[in-house]
Amino acid sequence: MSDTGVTGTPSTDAALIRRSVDDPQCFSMIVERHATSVFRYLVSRVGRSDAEDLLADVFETALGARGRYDSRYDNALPWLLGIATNEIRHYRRSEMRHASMLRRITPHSSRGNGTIEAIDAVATDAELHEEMESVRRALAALNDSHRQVLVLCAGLGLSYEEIAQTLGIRIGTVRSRLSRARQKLRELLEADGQYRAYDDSSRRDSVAEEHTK
Amino acid sequence: MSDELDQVRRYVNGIDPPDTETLAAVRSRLSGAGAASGPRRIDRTKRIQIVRWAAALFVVFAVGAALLVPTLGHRTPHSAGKAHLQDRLARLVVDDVNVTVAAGNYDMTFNDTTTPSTQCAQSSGGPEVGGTGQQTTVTTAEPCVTQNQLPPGLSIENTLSSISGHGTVDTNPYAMVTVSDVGSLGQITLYDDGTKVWEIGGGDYGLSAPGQAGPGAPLSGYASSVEGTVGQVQGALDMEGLASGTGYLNLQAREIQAAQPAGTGNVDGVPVTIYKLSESGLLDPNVPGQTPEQITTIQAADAIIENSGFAGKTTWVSVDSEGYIREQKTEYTLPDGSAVTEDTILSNFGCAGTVIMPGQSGTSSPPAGCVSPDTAGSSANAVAPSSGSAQGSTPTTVVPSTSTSTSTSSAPPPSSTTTLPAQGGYRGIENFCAVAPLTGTIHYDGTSGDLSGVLTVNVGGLPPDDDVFVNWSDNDVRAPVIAEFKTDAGGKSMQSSLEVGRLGEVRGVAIILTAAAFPNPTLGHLEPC
Repeated sequence: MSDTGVTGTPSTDAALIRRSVDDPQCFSMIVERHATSVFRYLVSRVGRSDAEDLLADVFETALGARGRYDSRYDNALPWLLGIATNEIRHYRRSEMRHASMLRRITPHSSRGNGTIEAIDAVATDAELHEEMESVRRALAALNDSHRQVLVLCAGLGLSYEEIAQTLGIRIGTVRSRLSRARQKLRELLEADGQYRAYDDSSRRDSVAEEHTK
Repeated sequence: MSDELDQVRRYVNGIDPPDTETLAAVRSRLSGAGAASGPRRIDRTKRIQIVRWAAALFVVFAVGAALLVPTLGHRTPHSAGKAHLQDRLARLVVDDVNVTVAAGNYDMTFNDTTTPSTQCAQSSGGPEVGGTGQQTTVTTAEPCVTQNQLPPGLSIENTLSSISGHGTVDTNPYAMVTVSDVGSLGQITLYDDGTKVWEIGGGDYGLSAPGQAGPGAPLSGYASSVEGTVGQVQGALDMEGLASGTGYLNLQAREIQAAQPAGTGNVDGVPVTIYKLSESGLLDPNVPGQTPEQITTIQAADAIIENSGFAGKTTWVSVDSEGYIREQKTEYTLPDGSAVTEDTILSNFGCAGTVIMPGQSGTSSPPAGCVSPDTAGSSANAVAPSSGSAQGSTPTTVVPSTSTSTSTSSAPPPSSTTTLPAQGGYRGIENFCAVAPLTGTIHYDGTSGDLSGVLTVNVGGLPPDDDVFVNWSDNDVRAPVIAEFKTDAGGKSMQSSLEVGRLGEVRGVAIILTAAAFPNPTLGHLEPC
C-alpha cells in the first residue's frame, strides 16, 4: 500500500517521519497534525503557561529522535505523548518551579494527607465553565498516574494499546488503572456536587469500549 | 447528562489549542534544530565481542560523576519545594553520591546477572541502532537461542548468566579501567575516559590491532557493538552509563525523585544504611559540559529506551557511616522479559590510585599517607589488574597496580575522615525539651538502629493541621531533616503520622522544627533537656 496520499504527502505519520530523516522540513507536518493534542495533554498536566514552554521541547526532542521512530506505528501521537511525559518528568525536577506551582494552585489545607504528589498542576483557565472547573478540581485531586490515563483515554481518545505505548506500561495495567481512576474521579465529582448519576450504563460502557479499538 | 469520561473529554477538548505565537516558537526551534539533525549514520561494521560487563559499568558510572553536578549536592536543606520526606531522602542519597565521588577515586567489584526470558524475545522493531548482523549479536540478544546456534567458543552459560569483574575509577578527571571475565572469550580490559574507549581483548575496539596500542575509538561508535551484542535496550542502558562521564550522575541524581529507607545491613563488614530508589533509566543529553560525543550517544540511547516500553528500574544503595556508597544494586526487567541485576561493591575511597590511560605515563599510586576509609579489612576487593594481564605486551596500556596494600584497615583513619560527622546513625538516647513558644518534648532512641520507634514526638504550639519537618540540626554533612509529622487541629504533633527517614548522624545539639511547606519557615526548636 502506498504511504502517500493523493497530494504526495505521506498519509501516515510513520511515512512522514521516515521522509523527515532525510528532509527535516517534513517534520513540520507532524507538528501541524499533533501540536494541539500534545499541547492539551501538557496543559492538563502542568498548566497552560508551562505547557507553552514545553511544547517546543517536545517537538525538538521528537525531531532529534525521529531516526529511531518505530515505523510499525502509523500514528505518532502516542510516541509524542510519551516524549511529553518524559519532558514533564524532567520539568518537575526543577523544584523551585514545582514549589511555585503548588503554592499557586493548592490551598495549604488540602495538602494535609502528606501526598503532595497527588496534588498537581492542572490547567487553571479562568474561563472554564463551572462544570469544567469542577472537573479540573477533581483531576487535580487525583494522583498523577490516574490523571494521566484519564486525559489520554477520555481527553485525547487514545486506545488502551496507545496509552500503554505512551506510558510504557502493560495494557492490563491501563485497564485497571483507568477503572480505578474513573471510580476515583466519579467519587470526587460526586463530592463536588457536579456529577450526576448516569442512568444509561450501557452508554458509559460504550465510551470505554470505543477507546479499546 | 454525561459521565465522568465525557466530562474529562469535554474538559480536555475545551482547552484552547496553542496560540500562533507558541506554534511559531515551536517552528522556530525545529528550524534551528533541523539544520543540525540530518540522517544519523551508524557504523554497523563492528565485530564480534562480548561486552556484557558494560552493564555492570552502567552501575558503576552511576556513582562516577556527581562532582559535575554540585548544584544538587549543595542545595540547602530548606530549598526544597516538594515537601515530602521521600524527596528529602532522595536528596540525602544525592548527597551520598557526592560524598562518594568527592573521594576522587575508588575500587570496585561488579557482578552482572541476567535471567533470560522464558519466552523468546520479540524484536523491538524500532531503531536500527546496533546489530552487526553477526551470529554472536543475535544469539546474545535472544534468550531463546539454542546452543547449536551459537558460534564456536560461545556457550549459553557465559553469554546469558553472569559477568563479573573489578576495576578502578577516577572521578576527576574521569578515567576508568575494568577487567572482566567473559567466560569463553577470556578476560577483557576496558578503558574509558568519557569520550574514547579502548577495549583490550574481545573486539580490541580502539586498538590499532589486537595486542597493539591504539588511539582509542569514539564512544558513540561503540554503541552498535554493545547494543548489538547484549540486546538493543540492555545495550542502550549500558551506553547511557558509558556516555555519562561528564554528566551521567547529574541525570541520575535528577532521576532520584523518591527514596525509601530499606533497612540496614553491612557490606564487607561495614555497617550501612540502605535506600531504595526508582529511576526512569533515561538521561538528559542537555546537561552542560558534555561533549558532542556524549550527547550523541545519550540521545541515541534515550531514543531506544523511550521506544522500547522499558518502564524503569529499581536501585538499592548502601551507604556507610561516612556517606560513601558501598554498594549499588540495580534490578530491571527488559521488554523481552529478561531480568538483569547489576551489583557493584565500591571500596578504597580516595586511595585507589590513579588510572593510567592508554598512552599515558605516570604513577598510579595513591597520595602518600592515604589510608582507606575501609574499616573492616575485607572491603578492598577491587584489585586492579596487573600490567599486561589482558593485552600481552602492549606497553601503552599499563593498568595501574592495585592500591590494596595502602588500604590497611588496621591503620588509623585519616584526619579528613575523623573531622566528618558520622552518618550511619547516632545509636544513643537523647531527650529534647521545647523552647517557647513550643511546648513538649521529643525523645530520641537510636539504640536499635531501626527507624521505627526512634522518635517519640510530643510537641505543642505548632500550626494546626500542618506538616512539620524534624531537623537534626548538627547533621552537617547531609541534610538535617530526619523525619516528618503532622499536627492536629490544636497544633499538637501526631505521633501516628510520624515518618522517620534516617537516624541522626551524631548526638544532637538541637532539634529545629520547620514547616514542610516551602520555604520551610522555622516554627521553633527543642534543646537537650
